[in-house]
Amino acid sequence: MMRDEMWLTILQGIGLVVLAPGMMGLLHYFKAQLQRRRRRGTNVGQPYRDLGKLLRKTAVIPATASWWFVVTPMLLFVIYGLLAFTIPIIWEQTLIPADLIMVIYLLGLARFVLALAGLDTGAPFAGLARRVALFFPLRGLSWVLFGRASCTVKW
Amino acid sequence: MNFHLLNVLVITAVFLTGCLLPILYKKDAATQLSLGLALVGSILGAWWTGSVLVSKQPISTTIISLQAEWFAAGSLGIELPPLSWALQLDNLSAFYGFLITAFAAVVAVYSFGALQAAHYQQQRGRIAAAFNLFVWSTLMVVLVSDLFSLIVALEIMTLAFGFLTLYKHTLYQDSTKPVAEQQAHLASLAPKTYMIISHVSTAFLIVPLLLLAINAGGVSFDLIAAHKAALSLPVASVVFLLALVGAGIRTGLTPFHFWVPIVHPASPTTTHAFSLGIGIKVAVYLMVRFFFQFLQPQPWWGYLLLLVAVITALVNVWFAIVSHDLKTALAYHSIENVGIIVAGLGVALIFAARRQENMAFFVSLALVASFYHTLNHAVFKGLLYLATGAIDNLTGQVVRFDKLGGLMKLYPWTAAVFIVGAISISGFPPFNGFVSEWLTVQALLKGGYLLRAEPFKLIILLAALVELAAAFALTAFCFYKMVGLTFMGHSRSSAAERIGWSPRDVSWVMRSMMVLMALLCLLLAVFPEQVVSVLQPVTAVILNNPQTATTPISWKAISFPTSADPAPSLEIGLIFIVAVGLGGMAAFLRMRKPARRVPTAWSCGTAYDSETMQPTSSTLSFLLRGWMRRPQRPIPTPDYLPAQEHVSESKTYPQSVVEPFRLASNRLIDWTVTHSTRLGNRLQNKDIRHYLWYIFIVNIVVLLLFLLFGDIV
Repeated sequence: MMRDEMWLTILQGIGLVVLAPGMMGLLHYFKAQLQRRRRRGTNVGQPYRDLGKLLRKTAVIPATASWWFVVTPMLLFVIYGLLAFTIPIIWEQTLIPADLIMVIYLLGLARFVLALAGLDTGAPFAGLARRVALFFPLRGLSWVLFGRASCTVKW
Repeated sequence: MNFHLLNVLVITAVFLTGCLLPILYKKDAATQLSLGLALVGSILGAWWTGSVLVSKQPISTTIISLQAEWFAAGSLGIELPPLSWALQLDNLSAFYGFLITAFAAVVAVYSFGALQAAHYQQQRGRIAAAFNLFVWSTLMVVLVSDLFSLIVALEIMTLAFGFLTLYKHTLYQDSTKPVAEQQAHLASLAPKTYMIISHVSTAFLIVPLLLLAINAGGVSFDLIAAHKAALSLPVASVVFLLALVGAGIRTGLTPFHFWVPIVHPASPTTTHAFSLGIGIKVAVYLMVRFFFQFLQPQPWWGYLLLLVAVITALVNVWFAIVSHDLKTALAYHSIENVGIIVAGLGVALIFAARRQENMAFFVSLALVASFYHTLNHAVFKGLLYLATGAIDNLTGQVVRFDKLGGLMKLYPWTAAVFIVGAISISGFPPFNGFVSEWLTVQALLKGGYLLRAEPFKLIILLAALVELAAAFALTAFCFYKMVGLTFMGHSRSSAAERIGWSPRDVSWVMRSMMVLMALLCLLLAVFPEQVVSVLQPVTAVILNNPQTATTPISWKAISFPTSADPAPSLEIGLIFIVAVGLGGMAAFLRMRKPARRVPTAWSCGTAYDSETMQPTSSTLSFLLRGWMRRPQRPIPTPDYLPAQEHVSESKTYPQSVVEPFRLASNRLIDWTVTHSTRLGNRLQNKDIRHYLWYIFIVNIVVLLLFLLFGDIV
């Protein structure tokens, strides 16, 4: 990889992380616009404002939760951030050269981390919801790999 | 005397002294010394075998070959094979020998701390003695190079581990506290089951060994490998099937997996780590020797092996999910990993049977995937077992999920290393499980590409791929359940039950070994190319093809021949760097203010009760239990009791599942014993006239045989 290209890939990753809330805002805006009653929709910058507000506020954590519950949001940010450096979107090259299997496993790791945090509070409902949320996407893994395999085989 | 022989002799002397010492002197110092000797012997062995491995050259040397003639040749008119004791060292045995000794060294250090616990008090000396013998015999199994010594070494290994499985039974016999009937029954069942199973396995192994020996005219491995082309096809297939069953019973391939979760949890948890981390894979070593060196692979063998392997993986991960205690779940899960390892062997066998020039690389790739997973499994499963041993010590042998919970806050070190182990075994990226699972999947994808013109074979490969992927996904679910129930939330046992629990985490000795294994999990993922370059000469020795050692497998080369796909590659080191950067950013954004703690999570407005309101083992595996459910007690009818009372009544409601394989094998053994006894009684009816008839018939048969085949003998 050339030196400039590496900087481009890093920029691509950081840009994706930074632009992601904006994308969400854009989606919300268009969704509102497309509805029949012609709602105006929120500002595209609204998710950034929400994030800023949430980051300024104090976190509330149940006393039953351990350090895992505290680090989970950061871990999730790291994992989804890694995906931004893994999937080529604007340039063909990415900082982390990886294949589909890596992407799926990173998504799986995010689910795993989140599901454990669901059990960590000891609350009756969080665990219930997380169990289902972990179970169904994991079943999809085999079909994605199957698709990958059938793509390689030129029938 | 050569260097290797000296090493073997010193290691043997050290281990056998370590075995005898605590038996002769029942002092505590003798136990400590014995563990110390095990450590010295293991480090010596690891250094010796490791030096062969890191030289990265295919090596195959005979260490010693002693032969004793039973009879002077020709004195009976027949030639008997000489009694022999031969050892050899090649890269394959060095690889397994290194795993055995390096891991034994870790377990030995760990045992210094772990065996201090109260429940090992009475049997400390015995455990240390048996551990020495177990490690030594396991090392011998991978070093011997003739069939006779192989059987002897396997039997010593069986006896040493059989002795260890007596642990729980003896503990319950000596205990002053009352023991639940079911537990006592299971504990007494373990040694018996192990003895029966290992004898059946040896019986299945002896027949193919004899067939091979007859074909080669000798018992040494070299001779057998040299004569493999002379073996006729049906005989070779019979040898393959019998060896598969024999080794499969020992390693727990699916119809025979039921013994592992009965036997292994009954052994002390420290050696449980060694026996399930490495000991059980010795049978996989035998498979490699048999299928690749002693036989010429046939096309259908690989498919059979692959199917058995993926079924093993799926069935056992399912049983791991529905089991209700930590040790049983881990025992089942070890067999799942054996399934993945054997799947790699199966793919290698498929390629090897095609006997084309360009296949050597793919065989090598599949074998490397299999060996890499062997190494990884030893590391992460070893880590998980060490952590389980720690929990076992801390809670006074409470390992049931429905009594655990909330250990994260009590024992943070144990919890952290267990989570590292769980993430690695689930195959998630920053740790080593991902690398070997990725390699196995790549080998399968490549097999699919090579066989694209043959639809039936392709379907088998794709089915195997889908099933393996399902097994990987279920593994993640299984470990989510294990970690969640053991470490997260609140304790599920009452304060009275927790009196015996330790207030602090384990000692520094045990902690350091667990952290060491956790670091290895990371290092094996960050430097995969170095590991592969060590593993490649191993495949070169097996395939007898030095070229596979010199053409390195690089990540870029594991791409598809059609360059339409971008080359898949693996840069976990890079991932790590990026993750550290992002993590720093996240921590900067998040950690500035301390969080506010509220008393409890919301629980529908009623008072929170940690014993009854948390998810249990049964509820978490509910989605998967399905038709195999067997309620142990009738489902309580809701009779509109006040809420609290109703909940507390049904709180210990276990759901267990049927183990059909165990039932079937019990039936089979029962039938065999009954009918053979009946037949024996009928033959041996204490009537002299019948006995005279038997002698007459035998004489006639022998005479006939001499008439027919006299010229051969």
